[in-house]
Amino acid sequence: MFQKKDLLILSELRQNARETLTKMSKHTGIPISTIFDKIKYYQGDIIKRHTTLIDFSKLGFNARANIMVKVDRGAREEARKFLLNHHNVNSVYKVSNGFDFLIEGIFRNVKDAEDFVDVLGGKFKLEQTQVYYVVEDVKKEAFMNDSHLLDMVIQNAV
Amino acid sequence: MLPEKDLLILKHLRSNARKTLTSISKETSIPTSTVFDKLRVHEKGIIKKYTSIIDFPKLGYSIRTKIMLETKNKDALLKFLLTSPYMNSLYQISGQFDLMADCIFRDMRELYSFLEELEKLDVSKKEIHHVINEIRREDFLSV
Repeated sequence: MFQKKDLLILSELRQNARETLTKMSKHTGIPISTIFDKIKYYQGDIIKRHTTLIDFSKLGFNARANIMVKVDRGAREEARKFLLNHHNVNSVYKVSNGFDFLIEGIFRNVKDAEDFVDVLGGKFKLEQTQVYYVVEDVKKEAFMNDSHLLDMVIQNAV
Repeated sequence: MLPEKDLLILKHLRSNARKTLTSISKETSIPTSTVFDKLRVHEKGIIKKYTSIIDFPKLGYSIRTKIMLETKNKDALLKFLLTSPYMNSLYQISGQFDLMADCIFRDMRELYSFLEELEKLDVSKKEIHHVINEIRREDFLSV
């Protein structure tokens, strides 16, 4: 089971993945060497990756679509491989409750997003589709971020 | 449109936000000083945040849900969601729902407790989808 130290370090990384070990040590009271060892230990396991969240609209990608699809059972694996490699796909989740996949796609415009859905429909037998365009990011990747809310998370940890 | 050099640097940071400037310079053949300067500019605009993607189930948080919500009182709902420790991401969306909340819970008990609190707010419609598996995450524009 994880200690409070581990969650504090992970929380630091959630808030700023480029934070220096020195600053993390100052914020958490955990020695630099311990932080270094823990990050190394968790890398590739609990820490899947360190990434950068970008304002895609500033790069000309103005349409972000959350696309829910239900695919014919026989085409599911092929659809999964297609989504795994498609360049407009940011994230893909296998989901429950009436759909198979939730796809976060990033496109230059709504037309490109609609074309993507059409291509999906053309390649795989889609039994159901729902598309939601993201109007605004109210919050992104915030879990374990806010230190005042982290206390509640830590309380529940062993 | 962003210069190719800038895009290349961003792609490297998308793949690994902890990459050193020296590594990025070696892999892109862009001088370290240029990488540094470009990073400083983009941290004030295009770059919203550096964060670590965590395997939440391995941490004991095995329930992840995407909840679509329609409400007559967006302010009250937003206040509740933004102060909830279970909230990971929240989007205002178009279509038949107003909001999409990505929430993470330790177990079903926490989820149902959250949903009970949600019932007290003016939610006219909701749809809950459990995440069974993460196939891809934050991959767009990654090296």
